[in-house]
Amino acid sequence: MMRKKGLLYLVILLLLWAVFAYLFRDSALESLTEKTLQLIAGAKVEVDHFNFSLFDMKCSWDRLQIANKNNPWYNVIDVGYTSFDIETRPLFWKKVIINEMIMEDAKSGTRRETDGSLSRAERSELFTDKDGLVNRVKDALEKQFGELPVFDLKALRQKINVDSLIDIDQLSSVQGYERLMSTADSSLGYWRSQLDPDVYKKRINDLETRIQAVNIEGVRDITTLTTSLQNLNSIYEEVKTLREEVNSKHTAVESTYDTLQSQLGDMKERLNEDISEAQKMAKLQTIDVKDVGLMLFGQPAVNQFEKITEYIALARKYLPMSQGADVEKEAKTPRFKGQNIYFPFKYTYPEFLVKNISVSAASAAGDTGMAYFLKGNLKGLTSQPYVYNNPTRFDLGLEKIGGREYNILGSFDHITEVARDSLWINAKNIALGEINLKTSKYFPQVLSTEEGDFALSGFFIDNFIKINADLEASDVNFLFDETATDQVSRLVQDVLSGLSTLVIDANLIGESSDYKLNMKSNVDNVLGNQIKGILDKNLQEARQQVETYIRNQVDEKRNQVEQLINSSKKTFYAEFENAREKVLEKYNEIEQKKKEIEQRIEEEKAKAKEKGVDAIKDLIKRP
Amino acid sequence: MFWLKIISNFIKAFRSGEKPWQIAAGFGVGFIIGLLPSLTLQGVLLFCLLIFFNINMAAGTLGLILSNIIAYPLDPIFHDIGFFILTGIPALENIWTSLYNMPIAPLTKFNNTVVMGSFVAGLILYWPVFWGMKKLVVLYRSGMEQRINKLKIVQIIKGSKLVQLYFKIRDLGGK
Repeated sequence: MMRKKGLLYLVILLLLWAVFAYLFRDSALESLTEKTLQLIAGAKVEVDHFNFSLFDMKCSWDRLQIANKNNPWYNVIDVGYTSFDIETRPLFWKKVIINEMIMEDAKSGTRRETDGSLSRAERSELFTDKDGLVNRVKDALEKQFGELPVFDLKALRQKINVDSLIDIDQLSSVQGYERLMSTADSSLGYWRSQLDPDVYKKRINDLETRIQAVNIEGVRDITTLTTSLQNLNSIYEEVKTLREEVNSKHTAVESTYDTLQSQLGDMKERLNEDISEAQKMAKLQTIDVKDVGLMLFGQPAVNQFEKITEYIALARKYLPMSQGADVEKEAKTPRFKGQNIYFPFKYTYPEFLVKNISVSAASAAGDTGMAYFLKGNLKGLTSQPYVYNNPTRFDLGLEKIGGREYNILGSFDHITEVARDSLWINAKNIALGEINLKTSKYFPQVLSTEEGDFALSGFFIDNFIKINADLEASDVNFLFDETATDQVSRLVQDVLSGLSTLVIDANLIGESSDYKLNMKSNVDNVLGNQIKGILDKNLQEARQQVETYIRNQVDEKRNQVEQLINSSKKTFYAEFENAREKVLEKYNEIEQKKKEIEQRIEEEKAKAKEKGVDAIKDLIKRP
Repeated sequence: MFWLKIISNFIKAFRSGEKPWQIAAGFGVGFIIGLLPSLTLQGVLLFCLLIFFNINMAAGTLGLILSNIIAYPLDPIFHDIGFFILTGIPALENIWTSLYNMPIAPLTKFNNTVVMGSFVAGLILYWPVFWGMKKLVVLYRSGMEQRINKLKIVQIIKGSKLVQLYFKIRDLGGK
């Protein structure tokens, strides 16, 4: 029943597969590991003799070298033989789970045999945080630094060319006055059409004619008098309506003027804002003591904070949040694809997970007294934190015999859509060496210091960043490129030369694209107040120059608007008064005439009554 | 020439040599494998069955090719069958869940509607295919060949170039 030949076919097939897998599997995995680590490290990564044993599910390499991207002829880490177990069960679902990876005898700073720089093609694949967190922080800080006051005594002494500096049409108050001019023009045009004096004159004259037409001279007839009174009442109603109309329009016009006046008042506020903005543009803000620290030590702090933000952005890329993650990749089914039905799955395996990496390393220096010892662990390194449901944590300690020590703690919580990352760095007795400062002829170019303590805590929640860094350095020495030639330079050099310790407290805080760097240092008060004293006089003059220029330009616009409003106001109010007076005159005239007619009617009625009584008496007297 | 060799072997087996059930079983197993849309564990096992057991491999290969061709238009039907089996029978839900949690599950792709539908359809169709093929072989060998050869239409067809080619192919495997 069984076919021997068939068994032979199968054995041949299996052998072919085994040979193929043996020849190509390890090198394929080796290349994949190198490429993945290169993308993270940004420098050449070399894995020697990667070995994956399918029978006991073990992986190992003889050597792993990660080049230092800043110094590519040296390795940032050089690990010898490392082996680790891979869990078998998750492999069936194409998930790689490593429980423990121990990297012992790792070295740092070993010299490489080849250059560790990446080729141009490899560099193009590297992670860039375009339009991301890093750039937003960079842009915000560049803007903040750009707005710092000018620190150039010579420039302050020179007359500022305000014409080229300020585009008058772009000033908010000028634009506001132009808008107000157009509003006033259209509003007043409307009222002008509504309050045509000729129309009112005509209406009043008509009423006058109609009042004159009611003539009761010589009229004795009560009926005629009553008819005249009725006519007069009708004219009276019209005059009353006209009076109300004039009054209501007068109120409306008054309200229009009130609004225009109030808007005119607001413009004055804008003028102050414009002046302050223009002074800012000309870098003529009043020197604040806290700006001195920012100007002196801001740039190195920014560089460090940007580097930290870059690492956070890198962690967010390779340890992605659940947002946009593939729930489960569909199994490849050619032809008509069909539909994969998902049943409750009791295992939660991320695509890739190393539960724990323990590292112990020493720097390459032969003398143990000079060597650094690194010890630490990294827990929960995974490509799908939202599946693993635990944050990635690391704790690294770097120590040198004799006291220097670093401790770096971090947590990347990318379990939900919102990344919550935190970082703590503590460094004691660290060698700071020479720190390049921002180039300015007044300030030192380099800060040189022996040792210092450094502490940093950083919290990154989605776009929100709060980093706080403290530095305390002793034996500080400020190096200047130029000899002091003016008062400010001399002052800066005098103050800084007398300084032996430096205490800096820097913090970066903000959200979305609004990040601010604040710095405090023990130099601020000493240096700040003295510089302020020297610069303030020149600064105030320059500020006044800008203010006068803007005020003159804006005054011109304001005068135009005020003239338009006030001139029309006088005319309008005069017309109104005239109309109101005339209407009131007619109103009183009618009132008078009404009374007269009513009186005449009463008189005629009385006469008629008397006549009636006399007639009755005559009738009674007759026999 | 590989395919010609298969057809030649199949014709050779059809005319004499192996027992009808061996040819039918080979064709049936190949037929099931051919219906499956992708390489799966059950497909590999069936292929091993074809290699290990004394059934006709040429018939199996031909069955595989033919069923693979007819499977294309039938995929929507397989999807419906598979969908019903995987979701429409509550009694099977626990079985599928257990199977889904077994390491073997990703290799079988059983939770794909087309894989499940075509596999079940293949199992159901195996017996009619086996039975039909066996009958065909028996009939062919019991004189059907001669009767067919005597038909005028067959004479005409035999004279055609296409049939000459068929003979050539047949003779590649020997008479």
